[in-house]
Amino acid sequence: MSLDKVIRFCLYSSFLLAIYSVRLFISPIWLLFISLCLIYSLMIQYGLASPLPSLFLNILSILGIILSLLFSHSEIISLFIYPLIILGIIKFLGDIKPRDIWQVYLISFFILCGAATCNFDLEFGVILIVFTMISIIGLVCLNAKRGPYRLGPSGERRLLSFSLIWSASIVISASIFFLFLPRSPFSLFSGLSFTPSAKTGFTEKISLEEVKDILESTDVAFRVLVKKPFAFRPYWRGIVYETYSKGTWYVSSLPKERRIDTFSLRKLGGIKQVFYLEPYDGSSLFTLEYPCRLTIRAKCHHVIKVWENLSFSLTNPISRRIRYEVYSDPTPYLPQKSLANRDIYLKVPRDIKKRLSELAKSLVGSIDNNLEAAKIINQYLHSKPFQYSLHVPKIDRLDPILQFLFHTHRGWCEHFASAFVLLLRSIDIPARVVGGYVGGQWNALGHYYLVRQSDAHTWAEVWQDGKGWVRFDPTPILHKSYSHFFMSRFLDYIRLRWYAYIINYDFTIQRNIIHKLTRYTLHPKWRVNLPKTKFRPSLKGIITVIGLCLLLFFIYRHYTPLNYYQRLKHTLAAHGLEIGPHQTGMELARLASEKDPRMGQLVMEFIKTWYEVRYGGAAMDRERKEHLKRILRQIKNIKR
Amino acid sequence: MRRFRVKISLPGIVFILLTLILGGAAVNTGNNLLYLITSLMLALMGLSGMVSLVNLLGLSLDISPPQEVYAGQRALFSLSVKNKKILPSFLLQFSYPSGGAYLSYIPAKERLTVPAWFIFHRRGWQKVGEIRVSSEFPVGFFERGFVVREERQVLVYPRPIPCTDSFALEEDIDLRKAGYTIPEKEGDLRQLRKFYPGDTLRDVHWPATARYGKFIVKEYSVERPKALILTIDKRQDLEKNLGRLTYLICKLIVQNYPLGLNLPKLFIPPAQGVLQKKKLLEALATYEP
Repeated sequence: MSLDKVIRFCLYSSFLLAIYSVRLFISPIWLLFISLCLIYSLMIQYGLASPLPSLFLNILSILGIILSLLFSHSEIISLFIYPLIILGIIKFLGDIKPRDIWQVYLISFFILCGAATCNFDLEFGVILIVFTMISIIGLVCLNAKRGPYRLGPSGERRLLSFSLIWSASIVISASIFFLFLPRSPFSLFSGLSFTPSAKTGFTEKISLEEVKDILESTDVAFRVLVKKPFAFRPYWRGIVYETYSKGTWYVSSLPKERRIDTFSLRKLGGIKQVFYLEPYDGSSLFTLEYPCRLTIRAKCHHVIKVWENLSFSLTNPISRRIRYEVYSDPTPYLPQKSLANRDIYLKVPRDIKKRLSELAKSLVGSIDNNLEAAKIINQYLHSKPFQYSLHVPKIDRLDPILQFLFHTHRGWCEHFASAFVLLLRSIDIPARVVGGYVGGQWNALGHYYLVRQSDAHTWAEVWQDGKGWVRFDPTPILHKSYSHFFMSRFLDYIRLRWYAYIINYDFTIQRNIIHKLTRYTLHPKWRVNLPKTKFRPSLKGIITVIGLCLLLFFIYRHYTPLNYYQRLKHTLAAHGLEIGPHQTGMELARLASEKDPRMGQLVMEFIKTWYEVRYGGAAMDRERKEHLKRILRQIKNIKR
Repeated sequence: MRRFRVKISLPGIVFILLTLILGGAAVNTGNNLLYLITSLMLALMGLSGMVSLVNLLGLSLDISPPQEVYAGQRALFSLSVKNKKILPSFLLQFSYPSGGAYLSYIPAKERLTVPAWFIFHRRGWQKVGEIRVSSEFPVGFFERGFVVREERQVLVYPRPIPCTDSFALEEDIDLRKAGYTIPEKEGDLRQLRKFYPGDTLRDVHWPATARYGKFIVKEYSVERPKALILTIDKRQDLEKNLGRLTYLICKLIVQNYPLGLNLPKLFIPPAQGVLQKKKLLEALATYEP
């Protein structure tokens, strides 16, 4: 491939990569327009169309920028990206000169910088690296084409291989800069990121339909790093709902503590989890039931709100990926001595209370124990005709729970949990609904659970005096199928590492790395302790050392190992031949043959081999060395 | 030990400014992707410096002048570049006061010759001077280079100034016919005469010389090209005169004239051939009245 073709390829592909990185912020009409312009540009390159005049292009670019600024944009980033795209695309429609190529690279670079403020996916990272490599190759080739330089085919090949290796080494060495570039614990504009609208999730007010939307999504909710897969079914507790009204659950309690960085109980749980929570429109943090300690880094000035019901949330919706650590104790109930706001957990809407109470009493009978009653209702909901289904006919005039219990008998987790809780409340047993996730796909490569939105779940907690809140899951277990394709698990693992090492890399991690490095490099075992001596430098000593060094130097100079030709001369001189400093090998052979024909023959043989090495480019391999040594020995052994 | 100097080009300045701006933005926003872009740019800068240094390491220059170098005229020197290292070098530029030469690629462990045009403005022994070896490899953000001081001296002949033969004969250059007609030895012997400068020893008639105590030469009937002795008019500008002499020497020597030179404090007997031309031009190049 010639340099011209490489330059053209790199130019087009780098611009396309930049456009691809911001494709979510460009309208489809614009994408079509860009594609048409690039096709026209390719036609110009192949001589099928003529380049547009520069004056026309300048006017077109000014008009285009004004128009793009006049349109309203859903994202702020689009305001910057459209003018850049117009400026870039205009360059392709004219006669592309080296200066234009530089400008296109610069524009593509600006577009990528814009994309870096709103796209944190692994995909963008790959685009960034590929863009870097391609643009570097393009720039190296462009630099080689300018001025009077003309590379031949072999030079072009070498240059291309060099640029490829060099661009790869830049990417590798950038990791060192990335590790050690100074991070600040406090950022002035930490909120400056143009993130696209967050995904749906559990919020402080959630309806049955919203839970269904979450369940139908295949997006990732979070990833949890743990040491080994659990032997039990993990419940990832998120938010606790207390109040129910017409198919919607609300959080009505107030947070217990408002401003803390680390929540901790006296008892430290045995299971450590590291969460990488994806952005969503809620603010709840998820933990394995039941959490004992939660720590979040102060990078984004996060403050944890801790609720009475042992759930956690941040003050603002989670707009970027966050990392936090949790220690949990996997018990089936939440120990609590007394119930403070008992009335909240007994509230049932009046319009449905009567029917629910009748049903509950008919099921429970005269059983007085909360847990026993809960077990019976749980059993009832697990039995037929109740069935798990996401497709439930809607009857507007009826409350969804009454509809579920008395008509359809079909619903998803929230129907079951709501019905369970309301039935218990109707017979004065405190209960509440918990929203979160259950299960998840274990990834053995990265030792983590991948929890998707489709793993969203609601379950219930029932109050038992003297024990606390006991978990009940009235929803029939639905066995979910996960992809077992190795590549998908591997890619997800890479994604996790991307978030862990690149996106979530911050001042604290950097400080830890530097601390570890200094600890290892300055480890006491690695230090060399010199023996303590009473050494005092004296003039005599210095002179003696210098003298010894000079002596060694002269000895070395005098006895420098001779090469084979010099050895031959020495050997011939020992036989009494007068050897001049400028005598050639052939002259030596002639002299030797005058003295002894056999010696002359040997010298001739020696010289032949020596010349092969000295002037013929042959390697002085072991065989040749042995051959020369043998001849020298033979010459030496000739009787004088 | 060579001292490498680095110049930053305009794209390089833009690149450095962009890196600084992005670095500042990364620190202030805590956006790790901006950190990543800044790291990539810093790595590019660092490795660009390293590569440009390696590109220039292990290069040695050897300059060979042409046979004749005239003042004020372009002379084609051959610049022999040897790459001693195990890696090839790209995009080399050799600049010197009177011009520059370029070498796109030199493979590892090889020697290549580059034509280099030099101009010397004064006659006499002139130093080749400083040759700056530089390269904007790999991306043109920085230009790294070193200076080779070439101590070798080149003998520069005077600048040839064209003149017509008649003009030279009548006005500036006095082509004196001293012993004008030198007989051709192949012809019949015409007479014996006294020796004039420019006569060869072969034509000396030794018995007559012995008899008269001075050189007597034989003169033949067939004439050969006249031996010319060039001289100058002292009233005219010396450099101009030397330039015209140079022009005439170059022109007449080709026409097989035996040429000689008679200048104040300098006399060169006429002779033919390339060696005589060299001798005359060297004399003119170094001539000091």
